Amino acid sequence: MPFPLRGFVNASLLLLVFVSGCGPADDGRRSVSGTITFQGKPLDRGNIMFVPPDGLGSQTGAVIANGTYEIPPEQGLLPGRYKVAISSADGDVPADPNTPPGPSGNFTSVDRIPKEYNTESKLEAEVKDQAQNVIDFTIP
Amino acid sequence: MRRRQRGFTLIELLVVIAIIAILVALLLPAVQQAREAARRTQCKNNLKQIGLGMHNYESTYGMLPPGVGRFGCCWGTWLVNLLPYVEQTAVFQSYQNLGGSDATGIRYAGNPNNANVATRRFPVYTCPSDTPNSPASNITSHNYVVNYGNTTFFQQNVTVAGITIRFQGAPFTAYKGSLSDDGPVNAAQALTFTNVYGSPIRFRDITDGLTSTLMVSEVRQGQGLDARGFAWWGGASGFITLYGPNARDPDVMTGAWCNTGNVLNAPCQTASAALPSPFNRRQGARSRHTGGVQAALCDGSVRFFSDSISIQLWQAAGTTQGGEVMGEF
Repeated sequence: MPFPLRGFVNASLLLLVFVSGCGPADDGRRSVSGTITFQGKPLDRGNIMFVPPDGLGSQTGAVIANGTYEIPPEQGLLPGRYKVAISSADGDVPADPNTPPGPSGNFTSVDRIPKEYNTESKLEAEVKDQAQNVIDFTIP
Repeated sequence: MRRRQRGFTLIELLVVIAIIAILVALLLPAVQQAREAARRTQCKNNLKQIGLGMHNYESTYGMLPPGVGRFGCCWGTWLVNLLPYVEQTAVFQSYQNLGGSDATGIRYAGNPNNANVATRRFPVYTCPSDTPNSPASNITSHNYVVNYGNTTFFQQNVTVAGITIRFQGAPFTAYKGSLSDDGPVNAAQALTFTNVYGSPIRFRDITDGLTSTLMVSEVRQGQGLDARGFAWWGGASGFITLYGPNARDPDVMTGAWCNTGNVLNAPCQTASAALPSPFNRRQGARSRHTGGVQAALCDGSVRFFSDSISIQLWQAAGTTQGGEVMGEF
């Protein structure tokens, strides 16, 4: 018996195959995550930055929360060596919903992390060409 | 003569129904996508309107509006200067003490006139993809911020791990040449706009070219007690290209205006820390669209910038006088 719709069915199936075949392209960036230990305890909050030593390549950073940080592959790092800086402010004041933000004076708060680990950091890390890089840091 | 029986068999009918079901299943989830695409287009149109407004402002005054006023944070930002150029002249005329100081009048939230302006929600400054927020005293946050260059709002060289990132010019001036945002270092300098807060930038100062310099970007309104997008205030009126679009790097809002408890909020840091040094106040380009942000360039064109744009390219687009050789966006 003739089946007049066969061509249409085949075309539809082919279309489905094409539609479902799309995913994100791999641009060479790698996910980086790890833990930060400060004075023997997980660093409760702060931020971390990875910068390329020669100013070339990728650069990224992340917040540190409860001793961990995580950078997904979309915002990750190209494989290579990086200098690492870690910073953590010493405290904050809760915002007041009835007082709109204004001049906050000389607000530079004290950093708990010594400058040898942030502005003048000698920390280095190597990001390898693998899907998941786990890089932990310990600050005395 | 035999008459041929015409019609569909049961199998044919079932196949047709199945195919229609598949097509509907493909289409229905796409309806939500189509709505978001429409919102994104409206968002893009707002950027275009702001870009045109900036050009009309430049035609009138020969310079771009200041990012913040000459005395700093709280007496009107570019958001106010631009109002007449986005058809809000009447609102603009009711605003008092623009570019002034506490000595000359009320702040952006001051009653009654300025509060009447700053509690309004302007559709041209609002991206429909985002959730509106009013962090304090019903004053509105919005979704567009101007380019303060490639370092921080203090517009000077910064250091990370011994590496200096040089500030290379920005089309809008924020807290340049200052050590705090109480006021300019020198009041006499402020009156003559000498290399301090809000000194105006002319198009001729943008030596990298208008087509390769960012002007206005999207930002996500921080939800709850969070000042991101609160552009009536200098501390949230701009964006920097130190880190890329929708980066995991935290924004830094001073005065504890960060709400890290809400999952909708982008990474943020309440108090200022040492990265990068010396002075850190910053807000990055962010959006609720998938995969990137939209931004207007200084020539008025609006582009979509992917989250995975090369950081060199993004920083080069943030500077006005970097002299970089630019690739394609």
